[in-house]
Amino acid sequence: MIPPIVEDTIVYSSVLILLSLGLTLTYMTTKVPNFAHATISIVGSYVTLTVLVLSLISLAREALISQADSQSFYRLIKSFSFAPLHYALFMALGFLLGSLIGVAQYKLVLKPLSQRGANVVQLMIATIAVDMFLLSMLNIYADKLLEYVVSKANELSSIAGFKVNLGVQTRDFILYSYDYSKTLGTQRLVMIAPVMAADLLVALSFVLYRTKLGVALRASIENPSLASTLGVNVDKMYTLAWALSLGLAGLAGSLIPLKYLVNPSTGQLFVLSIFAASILGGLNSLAGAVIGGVLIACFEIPVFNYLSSHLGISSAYRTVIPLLAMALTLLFIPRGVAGLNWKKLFSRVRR
Amino acid sequence: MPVEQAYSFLLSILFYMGIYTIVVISLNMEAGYMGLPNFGKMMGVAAGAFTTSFFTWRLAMYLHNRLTGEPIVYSDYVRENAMIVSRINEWLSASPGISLFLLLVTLIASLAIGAVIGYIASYPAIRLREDYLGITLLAMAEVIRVIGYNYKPIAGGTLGMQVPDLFRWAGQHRFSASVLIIVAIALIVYLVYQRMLSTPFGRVLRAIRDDEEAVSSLGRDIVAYRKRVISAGTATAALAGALYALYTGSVIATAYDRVTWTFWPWVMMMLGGAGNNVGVLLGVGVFVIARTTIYTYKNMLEAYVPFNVVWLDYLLLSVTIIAILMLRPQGILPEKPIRTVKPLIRQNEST
Repeated sequence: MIPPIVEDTIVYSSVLILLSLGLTLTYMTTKVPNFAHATISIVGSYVTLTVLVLSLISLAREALISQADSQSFYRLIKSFSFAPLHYALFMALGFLLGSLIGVAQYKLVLKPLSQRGANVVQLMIATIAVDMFLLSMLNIYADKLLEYVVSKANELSSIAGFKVNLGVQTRDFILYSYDYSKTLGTQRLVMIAPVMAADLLVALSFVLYRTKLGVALRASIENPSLASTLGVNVDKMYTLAWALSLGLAGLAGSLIPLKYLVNPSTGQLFVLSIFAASILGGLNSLAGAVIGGVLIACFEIPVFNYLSSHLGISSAYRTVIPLLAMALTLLFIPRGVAGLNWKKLFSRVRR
Repeated sequence: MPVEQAYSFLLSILFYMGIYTIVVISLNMEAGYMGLPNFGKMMGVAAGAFTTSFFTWRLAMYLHNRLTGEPIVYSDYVRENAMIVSRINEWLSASPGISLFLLLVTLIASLAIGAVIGYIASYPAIRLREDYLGITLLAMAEVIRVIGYNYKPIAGGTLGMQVPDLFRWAGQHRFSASVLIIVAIALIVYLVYQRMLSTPFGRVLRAIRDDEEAVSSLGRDIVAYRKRVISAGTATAALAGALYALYTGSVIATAYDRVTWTFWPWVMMMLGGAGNNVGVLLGVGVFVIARTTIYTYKNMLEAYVPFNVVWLDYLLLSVTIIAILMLRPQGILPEKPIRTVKPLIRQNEST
């Protein structure tokens, strides 16, 4: 049996790795910190919710067609749990939708702006505008989805002859119970999140370091003008990087509601942890982003848990922890963990 | 529209114009003149509001107890804050002198606290590139809000806190008098900034924005300028926060969010014309009138908008800012070349 705090750390660091990896990759290409990154991942969370809603409705309809009474109906609804197909579906859709939004953000907003000679500050405010846009879209979607759920429930009620309630919320929702597995004795997410993160890391490093495409992508990041003289389509490579990064964000986001409370503005707080992880990793190194993600997760969960239980700090101050880590990183190792010269450090310690 | 309603409409426009003029004019010094991406503008406003909620009623109570000789008895100052404030208000309504004294002390205290907080918040990243500084300021603003929300003595936590009414002596003209004072202060701030930024100081800021290396080669310490600007800017925003809190009569940490006090000021600045104070005034005017009109006629709009009108605002603003960046990044009134006395003298010499 794994203690809950370890589970929490594993899941949180896997999610954070996927998110900070993407943020770092987009930063490396366009040199703009994307403030909309976390909100795009919340789009993935709503994909999961939508998959849940649709499956619940079809389940309910089937149950009512076979003329279940209210007791057995609610037992069926309560015992609903995600099947492997559901996981595959919402992760794939989350990835797809995330990458679509990423490409749109790059192609429709950031690229035209930088072609017009916008400076970094202007590009940053543009990403905040995109964040705001998506935030309002998510809110509108949450309203519409709730309307849909209510109307479907009413429709089903008239078929059933009793009041049907699907027990779905579209704000402040957590899908823990649909992910719980009796055989595991815990959530499936505890297995899925680290496995997904590890697989995607292996796949990404394979693509980046073992394929021609990866070489072209890295070349466009390192030296765009040289890469383009060698026949690399830099714009295509950047588009690919944005698609990949925000795809990862969407995928990570699709897993978030399985363990954490989500509402449309969850991204606004999440973004701080992601930035902290990326900055701790140096903002310019993918390996650094991974290390940063793990470290921030450790600071936020086990370390902070220790502090709050031994020093009596209220758990509400958890948000401050990643920011403290970020501030200390900027003060003492502004190039992040990846920028440290480890050999020199070790030799100094040995002496 | 009846006269009274029109009057209150006008009053609310003037109020928001006054408050936002103070915020945006200081943002313009930071971002428009110096190119310093202050994405934590709400930090200053929140600092001012929290200073007011923490400090003003305590001072007022102290004065009340000393001057009237009837000390206010209480056991839990956070929970009984409404009772205490209403007793203070009764006493203050008959003493305009003390009210104005308290107003002055509150404003000075907010300026001081704002300057200190701006300095501390920007310290970790003040030597780094502007994107790091932007991320840090955004994050630090969130820290201030989290602390204000969770540490009860500052702003009463989730319940918020009442603030002594320092304009009550005006009786039925309370709102007109307070708006008059706010507009007067905004005017003073505007004139001070206009004057300050047309000195060599303002020209150095623009030069830093345009070419940091050239400026530092001429012996100007860029970090020192950044520190000075961010402290002054945050202090000025704190002034607005204090005035906002005093006008509305209460402070709650959730009211100081990233959208209202960071994003909107940015939109106003970019709309009017970054780096041009007259343009900023125009931007504030256009924005406030448009928003107040939308807000007032919300119910009428509801028939035409297929979703909750609250989100219309967000959508319009995010689209507006991207449109401004694409089509007219210099704003309605672009920055003008600097007017100096020197060329005139040189002309006289040559003739």
